[in-house]
Formats: sequence, C-alpha cells, structure tokens
Amino acid sequence: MTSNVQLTPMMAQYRRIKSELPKDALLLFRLGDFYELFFEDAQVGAQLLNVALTKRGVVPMCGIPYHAANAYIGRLLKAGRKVAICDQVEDARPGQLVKREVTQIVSPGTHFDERMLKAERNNFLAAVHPIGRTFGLAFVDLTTGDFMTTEVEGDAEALTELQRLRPAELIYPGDAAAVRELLLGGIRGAGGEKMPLTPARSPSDGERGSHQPRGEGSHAITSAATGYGWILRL
Amino acid sequence: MFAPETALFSVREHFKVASLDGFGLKDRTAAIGAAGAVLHYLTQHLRRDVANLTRISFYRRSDYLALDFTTLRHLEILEPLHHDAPRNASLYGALNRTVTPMGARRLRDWLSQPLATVEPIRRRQMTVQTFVDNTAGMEALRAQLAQVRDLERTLGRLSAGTGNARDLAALRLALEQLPALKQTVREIAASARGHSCPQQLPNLGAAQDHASQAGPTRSGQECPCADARPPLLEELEGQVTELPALVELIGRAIVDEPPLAVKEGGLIRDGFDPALDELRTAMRGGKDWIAKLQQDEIARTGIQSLKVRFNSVFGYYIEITKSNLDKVPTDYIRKQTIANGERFITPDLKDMEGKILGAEERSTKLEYELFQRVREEVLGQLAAIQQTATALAQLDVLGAFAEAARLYSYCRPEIGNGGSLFIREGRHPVLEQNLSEERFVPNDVRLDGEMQIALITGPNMAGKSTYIRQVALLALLAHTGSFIPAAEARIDLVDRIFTRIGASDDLTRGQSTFMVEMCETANILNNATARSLIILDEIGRGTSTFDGLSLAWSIVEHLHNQVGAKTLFATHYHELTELAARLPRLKNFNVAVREWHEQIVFLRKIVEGATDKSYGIQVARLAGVPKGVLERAKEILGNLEESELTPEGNVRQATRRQQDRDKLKQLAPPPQMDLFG
Repeated sequence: MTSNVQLTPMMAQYRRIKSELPKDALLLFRLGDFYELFFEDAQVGAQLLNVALTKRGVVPMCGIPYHAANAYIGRLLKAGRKVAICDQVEDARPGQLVKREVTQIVSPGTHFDERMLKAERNNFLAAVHPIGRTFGLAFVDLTTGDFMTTEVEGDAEALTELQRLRPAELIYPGDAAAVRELLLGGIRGAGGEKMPLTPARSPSDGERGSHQPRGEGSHAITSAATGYGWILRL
Repeated sequence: MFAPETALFSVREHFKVASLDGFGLKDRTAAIGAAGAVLHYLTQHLRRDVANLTRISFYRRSDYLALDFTTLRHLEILEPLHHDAPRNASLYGALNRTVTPMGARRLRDWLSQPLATVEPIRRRQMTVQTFVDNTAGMEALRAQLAQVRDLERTLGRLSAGTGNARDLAALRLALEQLPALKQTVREIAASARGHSCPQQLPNLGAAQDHASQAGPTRSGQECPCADARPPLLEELEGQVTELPALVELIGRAIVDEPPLAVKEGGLIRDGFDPALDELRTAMRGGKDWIAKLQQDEIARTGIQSLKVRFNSVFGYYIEITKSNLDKVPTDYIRKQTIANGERFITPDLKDMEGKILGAEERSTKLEYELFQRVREEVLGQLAAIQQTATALAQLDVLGAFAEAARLYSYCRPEIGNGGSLFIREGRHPVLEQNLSEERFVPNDVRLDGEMQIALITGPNMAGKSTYIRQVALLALLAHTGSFIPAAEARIDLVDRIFTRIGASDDLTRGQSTFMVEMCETANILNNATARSLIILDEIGRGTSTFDGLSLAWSIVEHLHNQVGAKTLFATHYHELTELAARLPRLKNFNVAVREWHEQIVFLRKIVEGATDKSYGIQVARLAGVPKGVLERAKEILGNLEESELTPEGNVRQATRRQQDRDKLKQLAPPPQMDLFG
C-alpha cells in the first residue's frame, strides 16, 4: 500500500489486526454480509478463488459472501494457505466502528472442514526437528486427538515416516537447512521412488504467491519461522 | 519454538507434568523439539484450543516392520497404484470390513505399520481367533460398534468448539452402546478362555477340538502363552469406560433431533432448566394469545379472511383484504399497504409481541449457555472417552480381520522367530476378491535356510508378478495379526520387506526407467539383512539385454552369498536359470503353461523347474498383433533357435545366444561362495 493514503478507522483496524497475524495467513475480514480481503491478500485471494478483484477507494479488495464462506475457505486451504477469520464481535451501531476479532486461524493441517476431511483418513500436522542425523518427528491430528512422536536416523527413515502418514501441513525450524535438503533432495539413496516435492513458493516470490500450489491432494509445508512454503504431492 | 528449553517447557506445560519420562520421552531431545514446536505453533501461531490433545505417544520404528514408501506404493497397501483403479483394489480396500471410521483409520495404520515382534502379533491373532470361533458374538459386537460411529471426531469437534448439539446427540448414542458392548466383549472373552493358545492352534480347524477338551483350563496353566498380560480382548474391554452420568445428562438436556445451529434455540429439552421452561411458557402463552386473537378479531369484525401474521420486518400484524377494508375497526393502526389489502397493528398486539420476542431472545441465549454447560461436562471426560474410542477402534479392526477370515476362509498363520516362510495354497487377498469369473489358483511357497531364493521364469502375463506380490502381501498381513488367505502357513517374522516392482518411467522427475530400477535395487542391496524379505520383479529391463542380464546375475549372486535374505525373483532372463546349478540355496520355478494348437493356456500354477520358452509370440497373438508380423517373427525365431543364417534373413547374430550360454557356464564361481557353503 502507499503510505500517503489516509486510513479510515476501519482500515486502521484492518491493518492492526493484520499486523498481529502470522505473515503467511490470509485475513478474511467480516464486513456486513461479506468477508473481504484487502491489499496483497486480495490479489492472492482473487486469483485462488477466481473472484473479481475490485477496489475500495484505492485499496485492492475482493470478497466472498458470508453464507458461502466455508466453501471458499476450503479452496484456500486446498491451495495450501492459512486463513485467519475475523468476525464482528458486537452488533453494528450506526456511525460507530464495530469491534472485530480474529476468531480462528485455520490451516491445511488443522481445519475441521467435514467436506475436506476424509472419514477414513487422519489429517496430520507434522513437525520435523533435526539434531545432527537424528530427526525428531511429531504428528498431530486435532480432529481425533492423536498426538504421536518418534525419532529416526537419517533422511530416508524420516521421509518414509512422512510419506506413510502424509501430513497435510509440515513445520520445521526456519534455519534447518537439513530439512530443506531432505524435502528438496527426495529419497535419493533410499529407493528409486523420489519424494515428489515441488516448491510452492520460492523465497524471492515472497508473499506474491506467483506459484501458488493448486489442485487435489496438495499438502502445504510451511516453515513456521520464515513462511517459506513447500508443497507435497503424494 | 523448536529450541530444546522452549519445547520442553511447551510440552510439560501442556500436559501439566514435571517430567516427560512417563511418556517415553526421556532424553528424546529431537522428538520433544518437534512435539513442542507443534504445540507452540497451534496455540501461539494459530491461536487454537488444544485441549483435545490429552496424551502423547512416543513410538520406535524398530518395533514395527519396516516398509519403505516404494513398497507401500507398489504393493498397493493403502491405495491402488493407479488413481482410476477401483477403490478396493488395494490391500486396505480388500480387508476393510470395519464398521466405524475410527476402525478404518486404525486399519490403515496397522497395515502401513505392521508389528515386528511375536507377542503383540499373537495377542491380536488370539482375539481374531476368538471372534472367528464366536460368530454370533462377533456380529453382535459389530452391530453395537456401528452405532458408535466416529466417536473420535465427534469429540474433536466438541473440544474445538465447532461441535453442535447433533454432536452431543451422536456422543450420547455412542456412549449408550457401551454397557451392552462391554457385556458382549466380556461374553466373547469368557467363551474363549482356555482355548486361545497359539502353539496348539496353527489354524482355524483346530479351534473346536481344543475348545471341547479345554473345560477347566480357566487359569491357562496348560497354555504356555497365558502368562503375563491378560488377553487383548479383556484389556481392551477394560479400557472402555461407561459414562452413565454423561449419557443421562445429554439425554435430559438435548432434544432427540437437534438443529445444526446452536445459537437459534430448539436444542434443549423442556424440563431441563426451570428458567428456560419459564421463558418458553411465556412464549407459548403469548403465541396462544395471538392465535386466539385471530378468532376473537374475526368474531368482533365479522371479517372471515382476517389473518394474524408474522414477518421479521414488522413483527406481528393483522392482514385485511381490500374488499373488507370498510369493516376495519377504528383502533387498528395502518402499517403497510400491499397489493390486495392492508396490514394493521394494535397496541395490545405490539405489547404481546415485545414480550414474546424478548422471551425468545433470552431463551435462545439461555439455550446456548446450557449447551455450553453440557459441552463442558463432556470435556471433563475427554481423556476417558478418547481412551474408549481408541479401544473401540482396535476392536473394530480385529472384528474386521475376523470378518475377512470368515468370509474368505483365511487361516491363522503360525508365527515365530525362525527363518522360514511357508505358505500352502496361498491366494492373493486383493485379486481373489475381484475375480468374478474364474477361481483364483492358489500357490505354495517355501523359503528357509536351505531354500533362500526362488527364481521364477515364465511367459509374460502368466502370473509371475501376481505370485511374488502375493507372497509379500501375505507375509505383511501376517505381521499385522490378521489371518491370511491360505490353507496353512508358517511365517517367521522379517525385519523388512523390500520390493523392486514394475518399471514406470518417471520423466517428469527426470529419471529413466533404468535409473529408477537401479536406485531401488541399490537401496535393497545396501539395507537388506538375512531377516529381510525381498521381492524382485524383472531387473535390468530398462537397459540392453546383456547389461541387464549381467546385472541381474550378479545381484542374485550377491543376495545369495552376502545378504542371505529370502528372495523371490521373477525374471524373463531364462539364462539366469543356470544359476541353480551354482547357488545351492537357489531354486528354479516356472509358471505352468499349456500349449494348444499354437495357442497358450495359462494355468497360473507355480511349479518347480526352469522354463526355456518365453511364448512371446503367442502372447503377441493374444494381444492382436497382425498375423503377417507374427508369421515373420516365428520365421526369425526359428532361424535364431536353429542358429541359421539366411542371406536375406537379416539375422546375423543368431549363434550368440548359444555362445552366451556356453560362456555363462564357464564362469568361475564367485569367491564368496565358500562363506555360506
């Protein structure tokens, strides 16, 4: 956004709420009967959701109707994005700025959307923590309460376990080159089947999201520290 | 958030414990780092409620049979290799007779992570046996389980705050089953006591004999296996907690068919809360007053078509049609004109409306509060219900194993720590169920210290690949505690199942068929042990014949002399059959084929001995290759086999085959042979 724009009270509220969120979360901002996305989020959202990109004043904006929000949120999750949902938490009064709060942040590995969950499958969020050749792995399925952890030696074992449980989302320390290598290099030396990984966003793309992950069976892998994303197709 | 101190703190804080040793996490810095990061990410980053995570389990991969991704994929354990294949074309699909989603998820887990030690497998087997022996009990149990549905996710939703009154009703339905369900399990367990000793029960048939003579064997003194832990069935029964108070509370609080919304009322029963009843009485009284108003006003005005109605914009109003407008009393206040009449209100009507709407608003609010209170009560029992759900999921899988065993006459494999793999009349668990026309032809296998490598030759399409996959699947299945489709089996535990199957070009990833093959092969040769089971389906196909043959030859030698792993090797290189003469623990097998007027009939039976013909031309005929091409191919084949060179026959290297054979025969035995003698 350009700095010389005089923010309306509502846009100031938006910027404040947005600034408190994880960088890679798209903010859905409740405005009457719509959830609106603004600024960069609007550009990303319009592209992923195939809705019209408009403007509120000079601010890029796109919106989805409140009553159909779940379907749209599902599409953002499928694309491997995190979505922060900001609701109006008091009744609107004329002439006053309504109070708004982020009521939940959902992500591919932590959502409860029945339409995307498969009854016969767990939906795992995973964390990888390498110490030397040892990989600490943790898997959580919030929908079932499953919480497992293990330690394995070497890339091949770590990949095997990740491939077996197929997390929908994976976090790893931002400075862990070992994990990046692991995810990039595939299963080399541990069998012919390469770990099918494609970068979702390269660091230079930043939040512009020019290579947004798409399609069925996509799994987001995000470094919590850097917002650096990977997508895992299995 | 991955830092050791932070992570340790996060995990300890979450579980409210002073030490993580009790979770098996002592000195597991890497695992704690990952677990702590997950918790931190969920709570701080995503601001989520993680009350649902009441426990954490640490597992060691070494407690399980190692299956790498290639094996899981190529053996089609969880899903078919090709996405357009029918859903049941996987081991999971064929065995999934579970009746709850929890059981289905557990089954996937058990199939992709089979056990690697004898005792736990036997405990599962005994339970399956018990179910198989008591079909009536098992059916009762499965019917009760089906009512439980997805207890885990119902609970998850309630815990996360996305749950609604329907989840509470579903929870009640599930919990209501528990007393009877526990009783059923106890009865099944009692019926089995005394005759669940695996040593004496290698297969189904023996069960009855043993039972009849078992009589007073209650304490299991005669059973070598009935020492330490109680049978799995009793243990699982003990983990199922009845929660009558919760059932009663939900039953009293929540209506039978609650709405989806929790903030619009209609979910709490009358009689549950006095304050709510009072508000509802007020509302009903008001509504009765309004209903009566219509009759009264009709009588007063004489307008038969007079209606008292409600909409969200005006609230309650009286509607009079155009033709009756002259009869409207003076105390009516006009509110709105519509196409065929007018709408009026009266002060009394508005007064009552205020009372009704006020009560309605307060009662929906109160209902939501009451819903939350019941939900809190449920969450107070979170850990107990989760443990119950876990036990039920396991009972469901064990029941599914028994159901498959019953439907398809599976046998209970004898397992142990020896080195044999013996299966009599084994069948492919997936194909068997998908064959509609023909009967699946069973086959035997025997691999042990003396017989380490089975080399299977035979024409394409004859069933080589099916056979070796079948052996791998049955071995895997035996490690899960399931029975297997065979007449009889002894399957000693293996540490890993390796597969090198199929050749799919992976152009998108820039790897050629041959490269993929060699990567997989390298993995096997580097990691297999004498306790591994290896399935090799064609090696060296992706390169020139001689390169491929040479590699295959030396790979087999290496497996025989260095690795010692039980191996099934299907190949089209007939030259490899020569190996039987030089490697004592290798034997040739082929797939029986009958020739009939230049046609071939596949008998699908694996028989001992080498084959020398590949029947390539006959297979080509089956595939519909034009006759002219087949005739010419036969001509060339004839020339090659006769080692004849015709001037215009374009076949100059015809004698090479024979020469090659002679050369192979002259090869010196590799020096390592002595090691194993």
